[in-house]
Amino acid sequence: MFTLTEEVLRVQRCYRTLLHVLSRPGTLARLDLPIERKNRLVSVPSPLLLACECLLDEKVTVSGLTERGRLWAEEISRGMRVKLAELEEADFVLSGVEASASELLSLKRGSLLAPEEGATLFVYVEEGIKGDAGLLGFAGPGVKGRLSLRVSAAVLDWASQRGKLCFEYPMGFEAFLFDREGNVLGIPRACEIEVLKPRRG
Amino acid sequence: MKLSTVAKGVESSLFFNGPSTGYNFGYLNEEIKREIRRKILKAVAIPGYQVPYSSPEIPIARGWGTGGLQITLSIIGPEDRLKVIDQGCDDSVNAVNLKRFISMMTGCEVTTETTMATLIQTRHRVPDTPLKQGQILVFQVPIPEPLREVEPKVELCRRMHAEGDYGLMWVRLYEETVRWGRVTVGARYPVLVHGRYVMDPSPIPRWDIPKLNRNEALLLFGAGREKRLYAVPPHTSVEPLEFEDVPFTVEDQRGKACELCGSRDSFLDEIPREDGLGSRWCCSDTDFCSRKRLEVSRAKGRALILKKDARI
Amino acid sequence: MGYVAVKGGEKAILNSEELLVAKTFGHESEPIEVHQILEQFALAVDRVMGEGGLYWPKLAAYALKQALGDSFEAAFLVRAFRSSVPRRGYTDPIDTRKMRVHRRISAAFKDVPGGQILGATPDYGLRFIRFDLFENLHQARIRAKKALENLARAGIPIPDSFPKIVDILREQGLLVSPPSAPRILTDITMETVSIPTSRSARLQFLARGETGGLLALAYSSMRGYGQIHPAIGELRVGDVPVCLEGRPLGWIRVTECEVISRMERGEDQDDPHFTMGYGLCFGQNELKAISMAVLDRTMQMDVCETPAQDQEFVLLHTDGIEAMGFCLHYKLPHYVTFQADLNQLRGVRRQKK
Repeated sequence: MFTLTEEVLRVQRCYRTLLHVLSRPGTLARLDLPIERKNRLVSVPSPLLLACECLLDEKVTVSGLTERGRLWAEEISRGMRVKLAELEEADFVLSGVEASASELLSLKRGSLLAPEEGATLFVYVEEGIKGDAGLLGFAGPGVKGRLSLRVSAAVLDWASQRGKLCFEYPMGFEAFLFDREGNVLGIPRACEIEVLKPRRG
Repeated sequence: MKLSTVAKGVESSLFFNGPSTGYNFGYLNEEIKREIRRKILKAVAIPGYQVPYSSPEIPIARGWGTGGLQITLSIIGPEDRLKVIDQGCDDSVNAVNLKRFISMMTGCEVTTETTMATLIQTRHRVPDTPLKQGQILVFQVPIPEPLREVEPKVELCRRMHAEGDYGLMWVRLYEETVRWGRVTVGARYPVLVHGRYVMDPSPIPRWDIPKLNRNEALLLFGAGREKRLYAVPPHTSVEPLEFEDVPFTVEDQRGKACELCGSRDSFLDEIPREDGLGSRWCCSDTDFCSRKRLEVSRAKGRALILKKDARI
Repeated sequence: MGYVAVKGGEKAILNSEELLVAKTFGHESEPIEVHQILEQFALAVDRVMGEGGLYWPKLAAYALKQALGDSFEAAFLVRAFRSSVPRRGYTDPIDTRKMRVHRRISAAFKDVPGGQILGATPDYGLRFIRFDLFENLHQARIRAKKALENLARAGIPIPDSFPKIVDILREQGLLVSPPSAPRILTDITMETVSIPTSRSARLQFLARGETGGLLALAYSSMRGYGQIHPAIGELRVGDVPVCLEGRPLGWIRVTECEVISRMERGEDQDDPHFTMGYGLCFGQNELKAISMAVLDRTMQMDVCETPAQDQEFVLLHTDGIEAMGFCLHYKLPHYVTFQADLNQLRGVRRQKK
């Protein structure tokens, strides 16, 4: 009656992980990464590639933030027939973790009439999400009371950059942080992140 | 003449991609699923906000749960355990039919036990057994717009939501309390989500409204005919609209208990007696009721269940 | 306890399906063949294709047979099937000037270049039930066949194409020129449409609309709720070529209607001119094409005082499949909702005492 291919199953699992982490900010989950990489998109880290395969197609636009992000976006656009767009216009944005607050500020945030048009940001954290650099506190929808997570220095910095932004809710953007091991963290626009124990120096 | 040759060509190519090789997993093609998946993520990120989506036709009639079904089919995987209820009941004909379609298109396991299910699709009820973290409850929604009764135009409602302008809604509720001494809305009681959006909780009884608040499960709502979907993430505040001096109350079930399991803390259906003298009461949530009966019979150490079953 | 609490719902559903399948074959009569439906219930097939939003006569005929002739149900079957097959691409715009005409009428002029072509129509016939055709089927068939042969011998062949009446009016500057078509058209089957919406989206809604629903609203305008005084500039039924990226795919039958409506003064022109409403639908369905053209015109009004001028009212209430589904869903159990309302009613009564 139906056929289920590897591909279809993989994106379905990936989607459920993304849905899980976005509805529970501060909770880490792990993506089921494919063992071999597609050679046509070599430069894109495999967790990012999987997330793109799950959510991107010709009906949406993509852009890059940071040098590597722009490279990935171009490659995704070529390989998956996704239209490239300016950062301010893009539905999906691929980014390295080093993006600054001023850069994040240019992401599409939607409007009061259509807040869902706010961008979705995929951030790749080379050094890993988990770490001992500090503690992030999460609050807001999806979080029971307050939740804390030990993270790497890169994530700590990223969170403090995000913390400098001030969007009028319901406008804003969603972020997914990925690392090499396939860990993923979801940060919806309404999520409040507090840097509880910043790194010294 | 030419017309018929075309028709033939079209036909063979459609059959090739259609039924003979089987439908795609979950019936919907991947393109449609991706769109719905993107929209669900945005819905989760903006709790209570109605996200427009394309809502393709599926082989279930509009108004019979297409919105819930499209969500379920877009997120479900072969490892899911599915429960479908209609008015709280697993065996209602439409629930059975939806369950049959979903399992036909996904091969996934079905269950009637709330605690065992990973994915529950529901019409008009929140199960009386508390939901757990990791579960997803998908509501079938007939009318997603809580403001529809005060403003029929979709565009004007959209603007009111954008501006957080719920004055008309409050006026309506106020007028009700002046006229009747209370807000007389039974099912579909309007709620405020995360302090921002007024949301239609679908036609669940008032009994279920407090259960939406800070629920452990992810709540997804699909209105297929109206092409809107929305969500309430776990642990998100959901408050009924109420006045300080006229607080919200749930259905008054004082003095009533389920005649099958004796429960007083589940929503009860009223069934007029055959002899016309008053009513009988029993649980609307059939799974809750049978679990309770099992507990009771275990406690009493005798097989009460079989006898009662025979009486339904 | 009725149709809800009864265990074994699945068995009941399967039995009900079996009963229905048996009906589609007929008990006492021979089963109707699909090719007979295609030919002899051609207008019903056309209607199902239009409302189903898929041009595939045989599939529509299957659907009609399976639905025991119910056009709503049949159109729904076709639309649901549509979601399960991938979209390969978008065909090129169709040029209806290339239409091979079966029927062509202009009500605006006594005679038009190319002439009026009546084709097969009951329009001017007397609406008697032709008992003679049915009581003597065999003889009637022979007579009809002979008549057709005579007509074919005596008739003049129809030209390959005809000039369009609206082109003549446009050349004379009496009719406002169409705005150049936007490069990207809305696709209502793939996008969510917010209202007010583009004309391309409106026309798509109308083209999939239910004939009776469109008629009711168009009639409300004709009768007096926001009249636009339509005149049928041209109504055509015929076959048009369909191409995909320049490659011809074949021909489909369509009905096209251009309604010339009351004069307006343009923004940059001082001379008043006529305005136009446009209707196009699959197969032969003149009622739908005319209603569609009228509604296309009413929705172009700047004012929104009557139902037919209100985009939301027209577009969201004329989809037969959505309306049918919602109407029939009231058959589903609503006892929880009812219980909740009952509880409120009793509460108010107790309070009063």
